[in-house]
Amino acid sequence: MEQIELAKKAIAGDETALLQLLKQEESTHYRIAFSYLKNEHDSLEAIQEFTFRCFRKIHTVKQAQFLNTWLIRVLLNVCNDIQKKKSRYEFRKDVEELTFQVDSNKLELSEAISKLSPEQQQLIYLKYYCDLKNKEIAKEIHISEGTVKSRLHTALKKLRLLFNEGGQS
Amino acid sequence: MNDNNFDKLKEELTNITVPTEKLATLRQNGYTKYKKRQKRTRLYFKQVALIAVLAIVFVTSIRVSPAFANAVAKIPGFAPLVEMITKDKGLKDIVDNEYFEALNIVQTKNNITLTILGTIADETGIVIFYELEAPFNLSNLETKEFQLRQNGEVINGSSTSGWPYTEASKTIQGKLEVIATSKIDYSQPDFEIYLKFGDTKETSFTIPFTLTKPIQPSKVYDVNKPLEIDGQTIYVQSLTISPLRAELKLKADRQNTMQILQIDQLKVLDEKGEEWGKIQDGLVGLGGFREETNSIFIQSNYFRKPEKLTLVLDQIEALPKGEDYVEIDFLRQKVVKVPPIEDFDIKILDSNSIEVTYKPKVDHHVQLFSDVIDAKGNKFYQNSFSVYENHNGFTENAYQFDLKGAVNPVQIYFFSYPHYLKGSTQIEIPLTE
Repeated sequence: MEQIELAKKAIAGDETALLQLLKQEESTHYRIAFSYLKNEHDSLEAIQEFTFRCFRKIHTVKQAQFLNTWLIRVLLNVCNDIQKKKSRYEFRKDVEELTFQVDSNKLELSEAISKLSPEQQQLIYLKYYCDLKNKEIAKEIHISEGTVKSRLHTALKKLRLLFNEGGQS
Repeated sequence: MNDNNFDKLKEELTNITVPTEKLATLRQNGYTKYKKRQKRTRLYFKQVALIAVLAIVFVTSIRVSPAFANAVAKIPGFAPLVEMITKDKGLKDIVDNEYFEALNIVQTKNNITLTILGTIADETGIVIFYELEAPFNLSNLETKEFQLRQNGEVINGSSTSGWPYTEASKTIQGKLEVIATSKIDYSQPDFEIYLKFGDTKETSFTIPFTLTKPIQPSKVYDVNKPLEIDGQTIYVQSLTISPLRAELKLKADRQNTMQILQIDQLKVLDEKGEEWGKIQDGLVGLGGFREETNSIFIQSNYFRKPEKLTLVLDQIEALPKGEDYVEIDFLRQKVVKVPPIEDFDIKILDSNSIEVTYKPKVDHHVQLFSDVIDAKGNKFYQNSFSVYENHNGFTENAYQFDLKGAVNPVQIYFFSYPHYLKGSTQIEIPLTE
């Protein structure tokens, strides 16, 4: 309940409330960023940019109960941007790319997840990391429970495909 | 893929060590970056066929005497005028001549109280002062829509709304302004303000009001004389003086080799040598040298009744024709063409906005761009412009364009750039009506 009050304040422009909220959720956010970007340096950069974008865009959030989902969506977009920037950068530095691949063995599933669309990733993180039920996800992102089911199904199918590909190579 | 895999994922994620201290620092960095960016003024506006020339000036010192500022602040409802007067001499005359009308109309909706404090009106436009009050912070509230209607129809023109950036506050004083495309008719002075805000309930207000004080008519002086400067010709067409502003109409000769953009230093002097400069903040002109209409607004000396005026043009911005636009492909997120100018950098932000960093030698506040021509030759307009804080002499601007239906790549034409013709020029304007 307190969470929702904080979210309401944050949306209304209370900056301290938003900072507090981000602090509370920092482990979840950092871990998602890390699973996506695979190293501390980039994950920290992501958190900084994520904080900036949250403050800049918080006024666009319509309802307090969707704030957490919105935050994850913003975070995934930031990670996506950093990843894009990085791949351009690493294209020129193939040595680093090798080490990068070695590290990633540990997180092969999240590696596969990072290849899904941001919407699909959000769904997977909400379901399997934040432990939300389909019904709750439906409420959070404003779609019917049936749609959640079918989207999850599509996401999982794609994931399975990606996962198996990764496993074989 | 089964739930076991996901349990493994969860375990993997939970095993990631969270560097709490570093996170606190970076969160703070992100927040600081936001606060710095926020120290900017932003103008939202609607283009109605004519390009609105906008300038954003950061006022650091108040140049009117504190006694005068105090006196103005006491006029009920006109406190925001104090800030305006620091930037516009004509408004000081308006106050001295009591050319304003207090209204004090109050309406409350969804916990937001809107008070229409008063207006200043003339044939060229109307300025409306208002106050907002709510039990929550209003400083970030966005004004979504503003219309001024007369006889049920929206007055055609350019309008601006909003307030300068403030710290969190539950009371806001702002100003709405309409500069009409054609003369406003006051034979039936009944108007209606429509305002919509970006709160969660999208609260909107419709407030009718009637003006009772007489409106002073504009004085029009035809000039029609050419001016030569640095091999280029500019025609001075007319000067129209009204209480809120004087409007100077200029036109560039088609044969010019340079595309004339803005005139950075422009002033009129009366027979006693007293000067009036351009209007510096907000809407400072309409149209441009590429358009049919090109009006530059000068601070008004309406109430002074000068005998003759001298017009001085200096620091005339120009770029060689053909090098006066940037070409951008928003679809492929690529900058196709940038003219060869120094210290100029352009970044594409998303599907309809760009960020520009450049290094002006002198203070430069006017928007760099205005209209856009798409690959099919159709014209589009810019709809938002913001200035970020300066650092190391660089100015950072962001522009958003209304590109619905545009075909990429698009050419975005320079509207202003601090690159000047050599020299200055002047002309006498006899004030016979």
